[in-house]
Amino acid sequence: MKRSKPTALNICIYTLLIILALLQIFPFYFTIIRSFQPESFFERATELKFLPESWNFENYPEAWRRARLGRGYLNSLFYVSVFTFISAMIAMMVGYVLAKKEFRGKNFVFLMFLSTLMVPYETLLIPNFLMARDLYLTDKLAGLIIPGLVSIMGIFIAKQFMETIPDSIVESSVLDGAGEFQIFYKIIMPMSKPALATYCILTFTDKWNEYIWPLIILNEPSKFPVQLSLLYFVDRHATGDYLATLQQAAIISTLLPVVIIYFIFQKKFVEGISITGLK
Amino acid sequence: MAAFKKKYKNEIVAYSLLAYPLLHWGVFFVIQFFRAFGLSFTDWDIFSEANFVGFSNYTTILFKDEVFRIALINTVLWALAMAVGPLVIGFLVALMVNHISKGSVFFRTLLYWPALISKVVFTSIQERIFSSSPYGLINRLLGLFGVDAVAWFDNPDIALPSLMLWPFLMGFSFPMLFFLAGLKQIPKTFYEAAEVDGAKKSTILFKITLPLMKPIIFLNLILGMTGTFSLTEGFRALAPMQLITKGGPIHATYSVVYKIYTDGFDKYQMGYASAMSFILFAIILIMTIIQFKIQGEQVSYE
Repeated sequence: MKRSKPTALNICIYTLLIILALLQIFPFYFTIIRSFQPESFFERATELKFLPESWNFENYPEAWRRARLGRGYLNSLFYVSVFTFISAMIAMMVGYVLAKKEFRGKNFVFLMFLSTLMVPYETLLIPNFLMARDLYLTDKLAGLIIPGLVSIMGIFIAKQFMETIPDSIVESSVLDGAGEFQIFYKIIMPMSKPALATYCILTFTDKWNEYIWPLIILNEPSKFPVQLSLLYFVDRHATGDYLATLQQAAIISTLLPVVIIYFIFQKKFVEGISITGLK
Repeated sequence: MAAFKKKYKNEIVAYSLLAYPLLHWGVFFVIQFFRAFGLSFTDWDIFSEANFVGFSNYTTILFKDEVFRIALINTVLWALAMAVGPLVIGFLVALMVNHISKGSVFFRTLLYWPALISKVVFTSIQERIFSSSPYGLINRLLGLFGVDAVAWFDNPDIALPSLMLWPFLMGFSFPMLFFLAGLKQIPKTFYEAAEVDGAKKSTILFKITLPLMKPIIFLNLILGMTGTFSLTEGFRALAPMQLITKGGPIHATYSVVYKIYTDGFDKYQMGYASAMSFILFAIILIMTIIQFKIQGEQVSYE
């Protein structure tokens, strides 16, 4: 059943895939090339540059300084990590209760949580902003963390996964005299690592990339996450002051954490998709 | 008391663990939902007292607001395009990646990772590719062949299709991964049996792969339980309009969510914008119910 012969079909497929991959890669390639050009760099209209004229590494520190990317990095790393950790703990706990406990109203609670998914996030932008204002969460990193801490997606992933853990394991540890939290931390959590990893990776990248909510509740530049730091260049662009090379340098800088996480955990990503969707 | 504790032992444990999540969810979801609904019947603008105005926000939006009408048409077109393009291309790419024996992990990795970049980065790259000046990437390519620069986003007649083109072609990464996961679940024996019977490649595709993928397609893509990708996703388009065109030129690229955003957070018409949010909610809800109804039978046979 090995199909390694170079059939016409295979050649077509490889050609198409290579074209698609190049289409995906080229914009990034040009972004990288451009990020090293001198600031005065100006291309002629009918030219495509595949290599930089010179390697201006100083674009990077300059971009970081202008857009306060260092601050943005610290803010993002802090709030994204805290959010991911706390929301993961909540999701695992709720998932555990819904998957492994028998109690009245269980299905009702689960259905109520699920119904949340029907309501688009954008419908709640305005009241959530008002809520954040009432609780004095605007212009604070806490405002980026607190509102979404109960993640329905996380609960769903955790519950689906924990239902595959045999009840007998939980029951036998109850007989051994293990307490509620012992069961959760010593048995359920270690066994649910794939679900936990999936949720954390998805949430980390999602939060790292988020810009709408920060844009709504933050005015103070010292609190900006990286995506808002990037918008500095978009705003400058709108006023006619186009810092193209610096913008490219900043863009490349912000991709780093997500790229690292993806290439380390890329197998987990694929597993995660199967866990969230197919079980 | 002891008897009560014994009888409701499970409930006490369960609800004490669920207490905080339920409270948090109640405060940040349930209350906010009804608050927005209440606001949608007022003329509140943050600065002055809110007045109850009945259904007038809704009637104004639906029958008098010209920009909303454009935004709604744009949004429906956008949603249709984003449902078809990424889905079809994603499925075809998944079939191809699944078919090849060498390098399938390589292509999967390469083709999926653009799904991880932020909207801010995606749109600034998109803007550079389609920039109307002769320095935009595509205009420069056209220039090599002596074709005049096209005004992509600056021409109201073609601004929306131009804005759609890149996400339409390049948005396949996430659906592709979903489909790949689904294709992997089809037992190999099905294909082996078909090959023994001498079935053609096209027959295998239409008689085995597609029918077996149906539940996966419907469950994961259409119902979109995790909210990461679904057919209703296109109704929530915001970033390209907000970050590239600002809804222009002459409102040509407004979307419903961008209209909610500008009316709410730029003009502070909180009541009016809330009413629009609920119209959006109603549209998405109706779409979802229709999908459930139509696809109900297919889903059940998994």
